[in-house]
Amino acid sequence: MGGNGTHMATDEKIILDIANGSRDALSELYMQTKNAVYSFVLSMLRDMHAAEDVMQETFLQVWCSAGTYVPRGKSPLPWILGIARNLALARIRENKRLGSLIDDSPEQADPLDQFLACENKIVTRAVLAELRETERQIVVLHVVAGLKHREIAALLEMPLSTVLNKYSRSLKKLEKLVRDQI
Amino acid sequence: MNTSELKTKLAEEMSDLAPNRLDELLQMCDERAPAPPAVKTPRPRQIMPRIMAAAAVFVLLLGGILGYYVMDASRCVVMVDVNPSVSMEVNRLNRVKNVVPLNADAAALLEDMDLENMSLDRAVEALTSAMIDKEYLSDAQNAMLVSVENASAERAEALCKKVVSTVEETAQTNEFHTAVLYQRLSDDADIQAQAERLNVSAGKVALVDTMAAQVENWAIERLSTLPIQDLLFLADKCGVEFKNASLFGTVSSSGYSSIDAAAAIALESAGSSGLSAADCTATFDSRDGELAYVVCFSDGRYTYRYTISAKSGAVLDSEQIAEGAGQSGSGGTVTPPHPPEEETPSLIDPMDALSRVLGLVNHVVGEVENPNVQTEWIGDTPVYHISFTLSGQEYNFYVDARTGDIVWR
Repeated sequence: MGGNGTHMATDEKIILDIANGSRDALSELYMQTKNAVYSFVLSMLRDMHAAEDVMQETFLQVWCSAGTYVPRGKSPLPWILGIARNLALARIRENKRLGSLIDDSPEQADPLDQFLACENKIVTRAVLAELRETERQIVVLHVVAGLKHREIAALLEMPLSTVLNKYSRSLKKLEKLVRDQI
Repeated sequence: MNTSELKTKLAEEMSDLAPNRLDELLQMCDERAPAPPAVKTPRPRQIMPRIMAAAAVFVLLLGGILGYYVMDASRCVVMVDVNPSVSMEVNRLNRVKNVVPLNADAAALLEDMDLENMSLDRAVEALTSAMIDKEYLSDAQNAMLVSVENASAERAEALCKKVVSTVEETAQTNEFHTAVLYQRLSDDADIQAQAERLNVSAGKVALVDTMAAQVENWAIERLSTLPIQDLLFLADKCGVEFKNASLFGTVSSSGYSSIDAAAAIALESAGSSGLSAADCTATFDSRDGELAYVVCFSDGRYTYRYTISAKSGAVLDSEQIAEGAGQSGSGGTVTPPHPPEEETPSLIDPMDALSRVLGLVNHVVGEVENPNVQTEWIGDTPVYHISFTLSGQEYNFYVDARTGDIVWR
């Protein structure tokens, strides 16, 4: 079964097998792509628990709608991440709608803050804490999920040139941030 | 930490981020079988809202189209070719609105730059500085091609002054002078088609098109494989006249050996000590996208033909033919001569060759990174050298340009 390699090419055949009800294929897809999906969703939500939930919902959605997938001779990862994005956006809209409700629960340490406080996560900390929303997504999609800039532009519905420029700007920002922290 | 290290570190840090909740997922899937594709139930048609919606769309579309033409009419394209090839869309306020790298070198150069919304002169300054940093431009390699598309004559002239002066000022701070060939392009579909076919900018196609018409035995395909520096050097040596272009500055020849020096190398290599450069004829040629001299001479027993790199002076290939025999002598390196242009057989389309190669790895153009097709010769066989990057791995193929057969991978 595949590990956490996010740049491993994912065969479209896996989706077709899932559409035929193969749990093994779903398991294989999960292990191959969960990191890409989780990292991307985390870059959108910046909430580890919410990112976990959306990740699970994404693969559940893949299971339910694999039959509607149209093979195009390419990796299905952009399709999967498109599902993840839509679910994350729905979560954000829901959170905004509920945002006015008073929360009486006692304050708990934010697990993301705890995670980012680890010394060996300096680059992740810079990405999640310092970059703007779109910049985080573009960097994670390219570096962690291995998507090409063209695929990122299609997924985020942006011009390719904008993706290229934001990506290069983000890397420069990160270089400076990491240099200042070391 | 440089960019490459940064990306590696980020990928490593995030590689173990996702929790493994596979069992939970499989349980949820058991509770929910995959849903069949949704069948859309047609709604009863309502006429009035549809007419109003269509009218609203028409008005918006009309406004959008008119607005687009007003904006678009004022945008022109400035292309910069050195070895990296960059295209910049510039609005009427001379602000860069869109930047497109046209080859792999440009993509790498632009990775760390953000030129959008910069004024054109600042963008040109940044681009020129980056090219100097990466040694694409230097005292020995000082040539640049700047092409402007979709601009009136007046605007093109104004842009010319701005770009040329900016490039020269930037070079002077690095203690050398540039040679900028500035041309104004018309909207020519043939040029665009050639640019796509040869995988170069429209500006470069316009340049080699002009040169091919004036320099004997040089087809557009072969010229397009040469970098701008070599093209302008060749143009200078062959007396090419540019009708719709102006050259500002002098093309550096310090990176090239002279014809006499090439002849001397050939004579020494052949052991023909009794001959001099005056006994040789020399013409320009190219090998693997590199400018070269072809030096021919005879010592009465053999006719010699040497191909010498115009930059390094290295002997790229040689041939020795016994006088009157038409066969190779025993002493020299036997290499079939480069066929003259008239005898070049019809070649398959380079894009066809690329598609065939990509078919071997089950991908199509657009799915691989940095695809490149160069026309070369292996002996007397014209080949396409096809290279691309897929999943981080670089691939190289040689395809017989006449038959489309893969000759080497």
